[in-house]
Amino acid sequence: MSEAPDDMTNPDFQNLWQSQPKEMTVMSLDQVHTRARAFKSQIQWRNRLEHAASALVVVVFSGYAIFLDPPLMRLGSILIVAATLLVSLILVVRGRAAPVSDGAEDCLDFHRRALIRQRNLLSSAWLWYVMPFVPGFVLFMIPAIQNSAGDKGVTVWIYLGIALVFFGGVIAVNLLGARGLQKEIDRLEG
Amino acid sequence: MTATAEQDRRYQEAAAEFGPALERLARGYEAHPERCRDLVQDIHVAVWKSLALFDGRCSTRTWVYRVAHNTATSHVLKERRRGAWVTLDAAAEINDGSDIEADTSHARALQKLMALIQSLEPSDRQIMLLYLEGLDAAAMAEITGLKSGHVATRIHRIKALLSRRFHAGGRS
Repeated sequence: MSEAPDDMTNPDFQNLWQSQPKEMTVMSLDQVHTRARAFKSQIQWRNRLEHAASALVVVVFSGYAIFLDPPLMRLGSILIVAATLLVSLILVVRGRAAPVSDGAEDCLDFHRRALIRQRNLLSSAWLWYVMPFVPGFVLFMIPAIQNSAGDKGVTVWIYLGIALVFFGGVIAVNLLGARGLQKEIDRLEG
Repeated sequence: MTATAEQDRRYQEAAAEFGPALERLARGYEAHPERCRDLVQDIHVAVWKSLALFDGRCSTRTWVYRVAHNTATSHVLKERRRGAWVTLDAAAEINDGSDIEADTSHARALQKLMALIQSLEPSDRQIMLLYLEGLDAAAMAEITGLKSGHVATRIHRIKALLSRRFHAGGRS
């Protein structure tokens, strides 16, 4: 930039920085248009991938819902399918709400908005990402516990432990992430 | 002229004027050459898209720098390497172990400057990059949204940090 800086100028570092060799060729207008379209299809492809993973869960548990014998397992499978569809829908809706920059918003506001959005996603993950699966998981496990050989009390504790480690782990990781983001937000506002 | 043609014209003018600065800006956010090239292109696309909404409420320069820094900030937030970032104050405490002789080389000095920039938190990085581009404090305040006083304080810290790192051989 050739704009005359004020008395804070340090020509050594600014010259060092601005005299970097230019490596990349300028994008033509056609290239910009093409990349804008490619970016859109990249997002569509990522969404398809997420939907494919959800579809796999839906297919497997739909199969369980049809072919498994214990009614509770069937009901549990149906609830897991419903939870998968719900989480997929939430991901799509929240993905659409990802912050996009326009020049009307300064960097501080944009940065804060991006961090708050990420923090809210993580801090509420227990509600929208974990809880929907809990009822189906519980119903799915009850027949497995009932049909298990040996001490049923021990089996209940084992399943409970697995559920706590899995669901609790997901919640803890997300809450820790949210706490880290909150610290960043506080620093921005401080 | 249609809205798209106007948008294209504004973009071409902005790219011609700020293209090299946008490339340097991307280098300050992304060390990996391939990903840096992608980031430069993403920034150009973001600038082009945003210019459809440009209404003259600020200068083109402010608009373009905001979009570029915001796009680059989104990029680094997605990469989730924030654990390794430090504030200007923390950076001043770090002894990078370099020696004075090596820093006399232009390439080495640039490399070292780049590493320092890439270690900073996004908000400090924005100020550092705008300072290195030679913008004045008022322009930086408008782009970043920080108060002028905060910008001046950070520039003071940046100058002290650069001076310590480059002229004192990294001694803290």
